[in-house]
Amino acid sequence: MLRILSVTLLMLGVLFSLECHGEPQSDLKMWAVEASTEGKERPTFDKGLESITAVLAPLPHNVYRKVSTGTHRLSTTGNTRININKTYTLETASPVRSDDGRYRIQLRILMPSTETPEKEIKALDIEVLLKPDKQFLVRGLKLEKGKELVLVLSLSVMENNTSE
Amino acid sequence: MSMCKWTNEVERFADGEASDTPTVEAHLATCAACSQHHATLLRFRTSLAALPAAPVLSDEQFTAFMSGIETELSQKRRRPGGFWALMSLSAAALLIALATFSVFTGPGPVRANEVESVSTQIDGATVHWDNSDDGVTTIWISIGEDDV
Repeated sequence: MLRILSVTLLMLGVLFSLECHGEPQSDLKMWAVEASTEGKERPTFDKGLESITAVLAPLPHNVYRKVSTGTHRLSTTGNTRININKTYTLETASPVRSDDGRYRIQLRILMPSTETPEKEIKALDIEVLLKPDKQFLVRGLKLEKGKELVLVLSLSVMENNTSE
Repeated sequence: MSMCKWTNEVERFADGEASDTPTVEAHLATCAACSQHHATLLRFRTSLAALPAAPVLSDEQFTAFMSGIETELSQKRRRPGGFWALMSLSAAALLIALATFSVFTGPGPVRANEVESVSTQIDGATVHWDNSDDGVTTIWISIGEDDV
């Protein structure tokens, strides 16, 4: 009887440990925005950008048009590719939890090479520690003449013992 | 030893089972071989009788003997089982304690976003970033004379 009880407890302990340290599910929210400066006095924002107007407001532009928005479930086993527009693609690896509760993630913004368009180059290769649900901003990538691509990103992680 | 045809009859005589005792006695008086064989049989019987009797266990002694064996066997069987059960229980308790500790202690306050490294393959472009504790972490790329 004692043996059965101890084996059961041992199995529960192992399962509990695995549960606590399993791969978390994570989502990457992305707002891709075309920013430009036109002859308008007050900045204007496309519909769907309401939740990021505070992040965009300090930028030196006054017109913000939505390119694409969405929440993307990240693969826990490999890279995830997200199309931004016809030129740029976001590629990301699965985030890894660091000791301080943030998540280390590798983000690459890929674009066709000017010399050999069938090959992709890394317009940006970023390694960043992200606090869950805290937004961060990438800007400066060119669109049409005088227009800039702005990306607002945030990571959401779903696990049992996430501490905020 | 020479064998006489009366040997078997002499052995039965020695066992007290002879069919014709006077005839065997008359033969023993005349046959030296059978007389010697008969004397050997008698000495063997006397020696056997002189041996101490084999000990005999009473029913009570036998029952106590068997219960002693059973008790000893059951104690030996229980001892290693109890040890391993205790070890397994300790390992399980340790695992649960560690898992609980990692759940309830957790990491400290989570700091803001932090850029660790940035690079670009665009010729002539430079990359900057700003790790702000309060505001939004920003990464921006400057691309040649056509910077926007």
